[in-house]
Formats: sequence, C-alpha cells, structure tokens
Amino acid sequence: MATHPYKHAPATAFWSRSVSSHWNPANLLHSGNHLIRKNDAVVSAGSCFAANIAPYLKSSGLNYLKTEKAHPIFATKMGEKFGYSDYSAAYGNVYTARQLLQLLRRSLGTFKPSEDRWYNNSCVIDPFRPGLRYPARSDQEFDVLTRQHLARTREAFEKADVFIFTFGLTEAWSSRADGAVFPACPGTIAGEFDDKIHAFKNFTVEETVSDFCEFISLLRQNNTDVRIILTISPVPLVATATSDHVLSATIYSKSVLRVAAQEISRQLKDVVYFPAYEIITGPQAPTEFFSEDRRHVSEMGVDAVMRALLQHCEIMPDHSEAPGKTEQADSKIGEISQRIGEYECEEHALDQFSSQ
Amino acid sequence: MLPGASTMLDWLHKRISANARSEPTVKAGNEPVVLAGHSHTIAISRHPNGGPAPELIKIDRFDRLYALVGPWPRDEQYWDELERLAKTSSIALQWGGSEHSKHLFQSNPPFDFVPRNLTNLPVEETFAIIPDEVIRADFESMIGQLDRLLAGLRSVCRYNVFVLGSPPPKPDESFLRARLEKEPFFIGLLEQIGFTVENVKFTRPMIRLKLWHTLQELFAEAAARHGAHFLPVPASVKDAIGFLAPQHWAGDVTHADFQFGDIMANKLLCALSTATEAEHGDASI
Repeated sequence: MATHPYKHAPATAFWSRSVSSHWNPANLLHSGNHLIRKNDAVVSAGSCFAANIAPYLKSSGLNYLKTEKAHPIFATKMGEKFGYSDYSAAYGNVYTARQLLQLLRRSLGTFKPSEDRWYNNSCVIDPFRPGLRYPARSDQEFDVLTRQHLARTREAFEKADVFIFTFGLTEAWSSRADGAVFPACPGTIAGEFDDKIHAFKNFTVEETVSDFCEFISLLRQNNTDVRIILTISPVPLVATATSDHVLSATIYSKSVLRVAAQEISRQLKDVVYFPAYEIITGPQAPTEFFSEDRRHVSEMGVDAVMRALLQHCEIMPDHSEAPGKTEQADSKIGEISQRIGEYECEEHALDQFSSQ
Repeated sequence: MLPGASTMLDWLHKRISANARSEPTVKAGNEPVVLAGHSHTIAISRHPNGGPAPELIKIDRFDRLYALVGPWPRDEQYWDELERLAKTSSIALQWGGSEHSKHLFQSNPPFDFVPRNLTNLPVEETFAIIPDEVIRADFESMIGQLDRLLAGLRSVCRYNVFVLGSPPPKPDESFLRARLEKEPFFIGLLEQIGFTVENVKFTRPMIRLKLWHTLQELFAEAAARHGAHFLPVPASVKDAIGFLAPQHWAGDVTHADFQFGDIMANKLLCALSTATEAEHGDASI
C-alpha cells in the first residue's frame, strides 16, 4: 500500500476531521505542558482584547499579578477607563511590539521620550496614557506619578513567570524626534496633532519580529525564565490612516501580526502562540462571536477563547478564599479614622471644650 | 456719582432685586453677623450645648456677632433657620473642617500625594502616590453639600457670606495617642481589628498637613463659586511648618482652643468691614 506524508497525520491536520466535525478550539494548540501553572505569576499586556484575560484567569484561581492597582481607600474614586486598570500595571492598551519594547525601556530608564507630556487646561497629560481619568495637575506631580507607574511596570515585567501579549495593530503614530510610539494618535484622546512632529507608521513583519525579539531579550536580562504566550486580537481596526479601505487594512495588519507571531514563536524558546484570532475569525466561528457592528467580540466569543486557553492551564479545583485578617484590618482602619472626625464633630466636642 | 448711561439698566436691576429679596434691613456694616456650622464654631461661640431646636445667641465678647446653636448633628431645621437669618445678617459658616482626619491612621499601603499648589513639599515615593484630583474627589460629597448650602444662602443674603478655615492638624503623635487613650469607643474599635492605641500607625504629619491644605482650598473654591468669601486660618496660629501651634491645641485630636476662636472672630470682623466697604458701599443710596 502506498504511503505519503498525510497517511499518519493526526486528525487536526484534516479540516473534515477537526473543523467540519469534532471541532474543539483547545485542539488548535499542541502543548504537552500547561501554559500557565497554578503558582505562576501571570502578567499581561496588549490591545483592548487583552483586557479580557485577567478576569478569567483570576476567576479560575490563577495568579494574575497586579503591581499597580487602585488604592483600597480610594478605589471607588479611582475607576479608570481605556484599560488602565485592566492590566498588571496601569499602562493601558499596548497595541504594537514597538510600543511594548519602548514601555519596557522606559521602565528600565533607558528610553526617555522627548515628547513626554502634554499640557491641557491646567492638566499635565501623559502621552502614553492619554485617557487617564485623573491626570496630574503639576509637573512635579506628573513626575512622581510617572516614576511610580514605571517602577510598578518594571516590577510586573521582572516578577512575571508568564507574560501574555496580545498584538493589536501594525498602524501607529510616533514622534518624529525619537520614534516614541503613542497608543493613540495625538489629538484624538488628548494632545494636539502636528504633522511636523508626528508621523504615521505601519510596521512590517520584519520590524514586528525584530521589536518583539528585542523586547524578550531585554525582558530576560532581568527575568531569565519568563515564558511568553502570544495572541492576536481579532478586533478589527477602528480606523486606518492608510489609503486602503479599513477592512483591507485590517486584514493586512492582522496578517502581518500573524506571520510575525509565528516567526517569533519559531525563533525563540518558551514562546507559544495561542490562536485566539483563529477561534474568533475562522470560518468555523459562529456569527454571534462578533456583535452587530462586526467589530467588537461578543461575550460568547471571549468565553470561547478563554475556555480554550484555560484547558491548557493548571486550574485549581477550589480557589475561593475568605479575606484574611490583615485585609479586614486594612479596610477598617480608614473607617475608624473617618469616625474620629465625625465623632469629634458632634456631641463629643462638648467634653473637650468644657475643660477650657 | 450716578452710574453711566450704559450701566443704568444694570444699576436699576440691582436696586430692584435687592429690594425685592430683602426684608427690612439695616445699613450694611451694622448688620448682625451669624456664626453657624459644625463643631469648630465652638472655639468662637464657647457654647457647645445644642438644644432641641436652633437658637440664636449673642457672643458677648464681640460686637454684632451671634451664634446659631442647636441640635447635633445639624438637621434640616437648623439650616432652614440659618437661611432665614441670612436675609438680615451676614453669615460666617464653619463647615465641617475635620474631614482630613479621616486619614488619621495610616492605611495599607500608606499613601502620599502632590497637592497642586504645594508642589515643593516632600513626597514619600515608597508610598502609593494618589493623584491630587483623587484626593479632592474624596472630599466631593462634603463639598457638594456645602455648595448647596452656599447657593441657598447667597440667594437670600444681601450682606456677606464667609466660609471660615478650620484648624490645621496637630503633628504630635504622642499627644494624639494620649487623647485616644481616653476614648473607650475608639479603643474598642481598634481592638476589633487587632490594633491598640499604642501600636496603630498614624498617617505622617506632613501628609495630614497636605490633606488639610487641600480641604482649605476646596472650601475657598466653593466660597468663590457662590460669591462668598473664604477666611483662611492666619499664620499666627500655625507653627513654622504650618501645623496648629501647640498653644492653640484643644484637648482632642482635631479642635483648636478658645484663643484660636477669638483670633478667627477678630479676623472675621475685620474682613467683614473690608468686604462691606468694597461690596456694599452703595447700600445707603
């Protein structure tokens, strides 16, 4: 009997046996080991789709590391938008490999963008976090807040056992002075666009691979054993700055990222590509994975991706824990302070003044 | 001098409005001044007892100065009475003033911040740095209530409305611990969460001073929004750094003594004269 390379190929090599029938998104990944083990500190960054990861990991009992979070006393006032509270540190969405590389270099103090702040209506805006709900009100405050943010970011990079990055885009806006990549085009969320100082950039496969490989190399200088999981956001571009139709620009951008991710995971040790993009956008995906605008991924779609990912993680059977005594004390100490002010403002004041 | 033709309509409008909203009044500068508000008023009024209903009492040490005393905590009836009195009086409002003490004990993690107008003060960068805007938002609810009261007062008051500054914090932790040791209520609360008065950590004095300063700024801004005046605490009652000078400490965590109250009252009456001259010079026309 004749033989050939497909003769003994697994079912996953055949569309009819793994997509048309027996479809299981978790089978997209061949991995003998758990991508995330139960005690791993997981750090993530990426485009807005990446914001979906942390809640699922946390609810599964995995250790999602947050080095920068809202202070418990002010948590109700510190709610953020634009993803600043969705990641391990408050860097918000990171769309490109270049932006990620520069974030790491800024946290290490080896890159100081020349356009590092914008002034607007008595606020000092961070161009790399332009949508912060509570921007600084003075240069001094800006410097202190930024130093703290970058220190927390560095801490996250250095403590990660697993780093998950979700590529979002190839299109970006940068400073002509030093190439600093902004998360959003100046003038959209904040700042002012100036063609003389801001430039459009559409990263190629080679640039993306190079930037990400440099990122990992730098990351592993201080965190030797960190493992990397790469994903690509299935969310289309909201707009393109190229002359192409936004749909064509989206397919181009995602294709570049998909090739780059493959190349990076092929070249580097302990880098795994997880196919979230395929689960949502493949021909097998139900229409309902996108919402009506055909851009936003539905809860059903996110759920499908995360269930597939979690099948490759070491999930704890029972992870619910009651808050410890220390946490309870922390939450109460503010209450007691507050009650001192209230207590002394009322009848109690009588006693204090009566002795004078 | 008669107003110029271009401002005649405005002038007439002001006169008509003033007459329409006022009950029979005395000449500006001779009107009574009513002190009202929360517990820091006691340093001036020396009258801590609140009866079941609001009551206007004369503060004999000062010409024209009265205090609106009443039930604790202040209720709707109290504020309604103040609004009624505002039609024929100037108002000196001592609103809260101890809100910075809600951070008296050090939180976990401890925090610090950079107040927008005190950027030269030291910052403990190993603590969590909270945006100045968040610190201000944390006082939002209390300032919102003040805004509503001031809006009501300004709508009826033809004289002046003052918002008084409150005493700066006391830096001495041993003093604060000694005061708290006399309070079974707080000793019990601390014990419930595993602390004692001896081992509970206080927020650093400089941070408490920044919080107080922010509170004073918020009072001043609220006053400005409603055409009222803010009367800050004078430098003479502070130490070299800006804390409440020890000679003005009352016997608890937050309050100042009667001498502090006299200084504030004198400053108030002086500021009233200036404001009357500047703003109500035409009241006798």
